[in-house]
Amino acid sequence: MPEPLFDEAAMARIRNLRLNAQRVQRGGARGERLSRQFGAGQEFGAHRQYVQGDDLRRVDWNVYGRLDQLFVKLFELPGQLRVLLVADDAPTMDFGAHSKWLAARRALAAVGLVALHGAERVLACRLSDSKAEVFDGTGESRLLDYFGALATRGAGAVAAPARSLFETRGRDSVLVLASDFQQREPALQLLSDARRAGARAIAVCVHAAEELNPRLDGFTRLQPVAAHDLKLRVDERVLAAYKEELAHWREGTRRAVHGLGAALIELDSADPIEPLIVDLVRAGVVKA
Amino acid sequence: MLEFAQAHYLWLLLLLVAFYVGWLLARRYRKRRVTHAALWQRVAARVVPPAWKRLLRTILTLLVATTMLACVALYAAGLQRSPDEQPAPLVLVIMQDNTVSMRGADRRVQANKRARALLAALGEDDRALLAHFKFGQPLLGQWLQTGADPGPPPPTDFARPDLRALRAALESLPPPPNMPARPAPRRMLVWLGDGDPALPPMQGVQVVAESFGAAARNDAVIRARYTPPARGESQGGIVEAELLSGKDPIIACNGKRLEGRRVELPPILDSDEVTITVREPDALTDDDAISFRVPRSGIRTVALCHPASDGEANPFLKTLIETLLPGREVTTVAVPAAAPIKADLLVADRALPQSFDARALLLFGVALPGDSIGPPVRAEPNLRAPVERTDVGFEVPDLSLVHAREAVPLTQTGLAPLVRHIEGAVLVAASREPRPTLYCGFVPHQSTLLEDPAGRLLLLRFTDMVQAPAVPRVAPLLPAGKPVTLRATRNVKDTLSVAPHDRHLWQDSYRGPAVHLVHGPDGSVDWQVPDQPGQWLLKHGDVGVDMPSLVWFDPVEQALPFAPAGGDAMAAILPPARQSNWRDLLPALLLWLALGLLVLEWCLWLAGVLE
Repeated sequence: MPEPLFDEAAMARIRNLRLNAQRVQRGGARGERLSRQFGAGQEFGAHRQYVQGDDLRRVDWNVYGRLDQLFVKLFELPGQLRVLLVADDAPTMDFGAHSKWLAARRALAAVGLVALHGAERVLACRLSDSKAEVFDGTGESRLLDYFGALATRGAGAVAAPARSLFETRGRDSVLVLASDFQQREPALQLLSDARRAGARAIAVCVHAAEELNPRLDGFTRLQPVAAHDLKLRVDERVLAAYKEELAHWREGTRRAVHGLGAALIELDSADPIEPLIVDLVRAGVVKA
Repeated sequence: MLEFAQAHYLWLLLLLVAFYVGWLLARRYRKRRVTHAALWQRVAARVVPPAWKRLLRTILTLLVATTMLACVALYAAGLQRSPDEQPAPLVLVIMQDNTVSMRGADRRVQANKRARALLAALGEDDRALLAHFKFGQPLLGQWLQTGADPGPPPPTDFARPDLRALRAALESLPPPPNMPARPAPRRMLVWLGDGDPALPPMQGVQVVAESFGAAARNDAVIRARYTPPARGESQGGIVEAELLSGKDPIIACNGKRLEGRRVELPPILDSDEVTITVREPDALTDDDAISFRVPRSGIRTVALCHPASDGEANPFLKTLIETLLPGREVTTVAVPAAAPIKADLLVADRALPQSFDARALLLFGVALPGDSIGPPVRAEPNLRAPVERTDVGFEVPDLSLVHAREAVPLTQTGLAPLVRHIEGAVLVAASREPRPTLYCGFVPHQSTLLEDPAGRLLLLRFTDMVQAPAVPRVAPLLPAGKPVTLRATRNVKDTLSVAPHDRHLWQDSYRGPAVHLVHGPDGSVDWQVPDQPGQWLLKHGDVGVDMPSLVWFDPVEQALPFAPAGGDAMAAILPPARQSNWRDLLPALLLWLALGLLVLEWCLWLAGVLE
């Protein structure tokens, strides 16, 4: 049985977050907040369970008659935000005492939950998937199950970014990509596609503590993920060289991501999820 | 078969094993899973040393290991030389001089220490044996190896050492067992003494003499003679003694200290022991004193018994006894006596104690147990039968003028009758065995025995007989090493034996042999007096009869000569120096090469050349 992504306390904190997409703020009310302008002839989008304070006029009484539960209707206006959550499922993501893969799934699930709570459309997929999974306002548990069961791809599988994500309504989309950028080309290709489609892109670069500060000493047989073994006598000089190479690599990744008009947030797999949300708020993607 | 010369170096192989185990453990690659394979590849390209450094490191490691292994193997197995190149083993005879002069000061101890040191300095293949003289002949011990215990110094031998016998023994000495024939062993005789022994040349035997001790002065009793007193003389004999130093000896006897070369001993001796000593102790203390026993005097104590009813002993009888035996203490005993009476001469005046121990008995009117007396008779002069001639040890005078109012005759007796009453009763009887006994029926206070000259003469002759000392079979002082002729006293068939007296011989010296002496047809036997000084015990059967003391005199040995022989035995037993070659230095060279390579590797590592 897969490990739960969040505990109850984390779930409560996530529900308090609201999406604040830049384009939605500029073009008028969208989603849940705009749904209060009921009667404007918008297209029905989804249902959401009634909570105290909702306008009773928005209650779908037909559903109530069938299920004996109160649901309110959510209308998808033409400017509704599409949140694209993409997890880099490279084999190198499954690494670290605090798994990078788990950290990436938590981060994307948190963003997805916030988006669903705001009645946005959420599309989730792995970098190697050709088709994304769509989640609407009632899909919280399904979203959690989806990310909870998500696995990395095999060592021989090839990442093929789903370009269909940006074929329609690209300017209403926000791409959140969680990756370690060790196989940089597929991730950068996805960010490039998002830029071309006019979608805003945010890259979350996930690191493991063992990658940032490897604890190696003496004669060591290095066994890189999806690469050949390497015998090396590790000492202070070797570690210094590694950290120097790592700094160059991180700088190169940062430049490449920024060059594609995307924001880059670096996440330590051992860190809690709250700092990531703070970074997203600072980036203007979500607000509490 | 391979023999390790330095087997204990094999333990160094354990260090090598530990070293290699540690080295392999340190070089064991631990597997670690990482990411960023490209980054690690670039790091490896930057930090892995070039091929020449790795080759240099490998070469140094192999060189160090090889040289160390070779060094350990060489030290462990040793460089076994061919038999011709190996030093010849030593066959050593350590002759410890055990003549008398070695007893001076601590010469024997020093020589024995030297023997121990020589044994400890022997090589593994060397063999040695200890030798000394016994009764003048060489006595060789068993073969010893290095570190053997030589034991205490050998006992002193008083006989002259037979050096020719020693030469013959050494020249015919067989090689020690298990000694290889090649190379031929060196034969050596080390003489540990106090001078040059002037050994005859020996074929194939190297002789080294080493002296111990220092010159010392010694005085000794070199001559002593005892002349017993003639009958009638009042002195106890004459002792003549002479010292090596020419000084007057000290003669101790009877608790008195006499000085002089010719000394008359007091007539009555409380002790039989006479000791002749030098005036001052010196380096050789054994010959400083000679003790001997003078012939025992016959009568020393006299007990006069009388009936308790008399109140006191007959004073005339007591006075006469004291006159006949001057110097003796006469004690009077009233009979019956409470305790047993013990005296050399027991005079019983009509009363004989039930329990007594005496060498001679003089009985007046009382019979021995088993004899019986008759009623008193009157003995008138000239009314007695003539004296019977019987050998009782003395001649009985004519007692015809002695008369008695009441004479007590013997009616039954085992004694030899000497004078009979006219009626046939025995008035005087005597016997020599089992002890001198004289019975006189003339009771002193009832007769004129004590006043009559013949009566006094009878008592004088009896007391002379019993107090005369036994004639010794051998003189109390004899010169050692010279024959003496002993004569049988009674029965020529008696067998005598002579053995050393353990308590009076020199300590740590060879005892002379015990011999049996058998008289010849003429009653004489020649005894070759042994060389061992001290007291010897002459036995007749199981009974000791004499204890002569042998006076030993050897002017050479007793002068404690000392002459440095000039030899150095320790240096002589060392193998001759051999020219070393490269093979002798090879193990050390390899060891230093290994250490040098290790230091070089360490320096290169410190300099950063090697990883």
